Amino acid sequence: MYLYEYQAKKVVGDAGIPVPQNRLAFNPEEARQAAEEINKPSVVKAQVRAGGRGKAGLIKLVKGSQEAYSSAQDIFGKYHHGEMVEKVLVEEKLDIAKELYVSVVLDLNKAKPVVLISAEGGVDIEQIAESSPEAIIRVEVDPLEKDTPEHKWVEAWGKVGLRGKQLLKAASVASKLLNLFYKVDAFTVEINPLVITQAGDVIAADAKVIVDDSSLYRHPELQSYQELSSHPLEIEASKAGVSYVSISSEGFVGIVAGGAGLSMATMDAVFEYGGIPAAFLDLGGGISEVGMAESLKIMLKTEGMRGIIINVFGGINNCEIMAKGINRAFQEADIQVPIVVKMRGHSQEEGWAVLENLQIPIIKHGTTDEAIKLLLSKIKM
Amino acid sequence: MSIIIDQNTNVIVQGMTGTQGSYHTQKMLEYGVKVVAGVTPGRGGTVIHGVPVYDTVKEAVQKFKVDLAMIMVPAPFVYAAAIESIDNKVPTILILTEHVPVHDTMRIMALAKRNGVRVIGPNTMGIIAPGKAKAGVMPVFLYGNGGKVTVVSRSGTLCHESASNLMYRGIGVNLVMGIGGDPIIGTSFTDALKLLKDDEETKAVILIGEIGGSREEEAAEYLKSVDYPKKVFAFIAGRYSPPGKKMGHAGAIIEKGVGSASAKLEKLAEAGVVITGSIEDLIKKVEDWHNGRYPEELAKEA
Repeated sequence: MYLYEYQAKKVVGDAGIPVPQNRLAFNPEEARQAAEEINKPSVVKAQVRAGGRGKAGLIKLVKGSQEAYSSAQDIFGKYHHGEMVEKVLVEEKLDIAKELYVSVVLDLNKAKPVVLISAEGGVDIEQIAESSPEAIIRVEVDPLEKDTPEHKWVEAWGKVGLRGKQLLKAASVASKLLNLFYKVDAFTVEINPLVITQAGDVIAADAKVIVDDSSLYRHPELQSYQELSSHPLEIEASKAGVSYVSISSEGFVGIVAGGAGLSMATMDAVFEYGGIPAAFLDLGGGISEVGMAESLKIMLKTEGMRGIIINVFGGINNCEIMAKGINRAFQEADIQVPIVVKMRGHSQEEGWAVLENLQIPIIKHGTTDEAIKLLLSKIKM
Repeated sequence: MSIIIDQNTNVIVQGMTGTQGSYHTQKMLEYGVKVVAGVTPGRGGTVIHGVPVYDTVKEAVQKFKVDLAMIMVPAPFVYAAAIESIDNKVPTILILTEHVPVHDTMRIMALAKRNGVRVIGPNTMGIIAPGKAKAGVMPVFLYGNGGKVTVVSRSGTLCHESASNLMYRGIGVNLVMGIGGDPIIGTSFTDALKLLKDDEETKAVILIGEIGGSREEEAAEYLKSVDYPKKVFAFIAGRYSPPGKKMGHAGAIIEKGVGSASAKLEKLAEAGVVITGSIEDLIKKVEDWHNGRYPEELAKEA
């Protein structure tokens, strides 16, 4: 889960890292009030997930509350990479003396956190990595180490030229950021820029936090940040414990498959043979009869969908249970589109028998490609 | 002798008393697998399908020589189960559970490394040496009775898909390993290729990858760096995935063009791997190789 800036700043601030004084606003009037409370030159920042907000005119400097109102009015309702601006963060403007960079990222191949430190903040770290890789200090951390000693961060910041109080303040930020990384089960916690102000304070001017969805069960404090998809069928699927991904508005093939790999391979094959997938639904493991029926019914609601491929295995799932689920969907819904089922594995004989009763074509042996070709020929008829 | 698992492998199942654990234990016993014990804290003394259940891994390793621990406990309990088997020096730990917190896997991996324990998974269908043994949820009748081709895949269902279709066309597989669909996994494509490099039974390796991450690229680097003695084929699922969208449960995702199918296939092709565009194409190319060069190589050996 990718946190919004205002959420990330809350989390970073709670970890004891200084963040600018800020208020969240849901409309221009609230933005005006926020700027009034802050009572300093401020910045109005659109809360959207994609980067490049500055260039898109979604971050505005304002002198006072009236300007905050009019800037917010400009920003609200604008679209940025498909996302509409529904919230803005009003934040005190910092007097910047220097911009630094610090992050903790999970190195997936090495299976350990890596702390990245640079004195060249404010730009994309990948740009720095390309133009001057020596400007980034990489510190690998042993995940079994209870407390990483502070001197490691003093050393790292020292290497990029920090001295005195700023060195100690920046070291403290790195140390707290690593603790935060562990505390929230993060993939990434990044502060860019970490600002040194004219007054010598060290403050997180921006924050990016990506947490692991699998760990949310143990983070009640983050669960409220989970945003439901805006797609009604994705919401319905998530309630049924399955995962629906809408693919193309021009699509006409619905894919119901078990496992991400097979779902994607099925989607590839649909494109390969001239079809366009409208959506795919990944059943995951341990699907029940009701879950299967619900999944099929959700897929049937997909707009423009003219045929469904059900591509499943009885491995962690069971063919008989899935076939009974398909049967249940046929009883409960009015199914007019062609359906092709490719199914084999545990309890396949029982599953096939149920489907044969429904007179659904079954690919018992053969590849996904064969099933797709059959479905596409039926859609054309 | 197969890699990791064969007729002589003693397996314990952590989470045997659950619905899935019990069902798949039964399937493994039917296949002749030596499932010697189950472990569920608080359920010690229970017997499932004739197999004793203990409260701790320690009791199991005191009574039996344990080669492999298969973990099927719910995600929040995987960490405790895994470190228990690591503490007791079980040589191979297979984690089938999906949705394990990634930081838990990170710590499991660090402890496993320290103790010289191999981890496979999480989020895998398991491992099968057809005709010999299996640890996992795969339906065995889709895997035939052995052969010379090894399949290594991030996706479990694509293991079923490729192995069954190879079997229908008369091509046997000697080992199929689900390495798992999670961001951090214990045994990577590269680790698997290293294990298989000098395995006499394996004549060809099929790598089944997915978009996202860089495990396939890493494998390509490895293959380039050694004179790999086997034919290698690869298929990458997700060629047509819209960028930035999370694709289903395992969460394969492409960010900023990193880990796209075309980038992976290009790197693999440079390393001499036969790349394929669909499951059908994969099966066809393995079949061509099998019908062409394969008998010659067999003759050479004889």
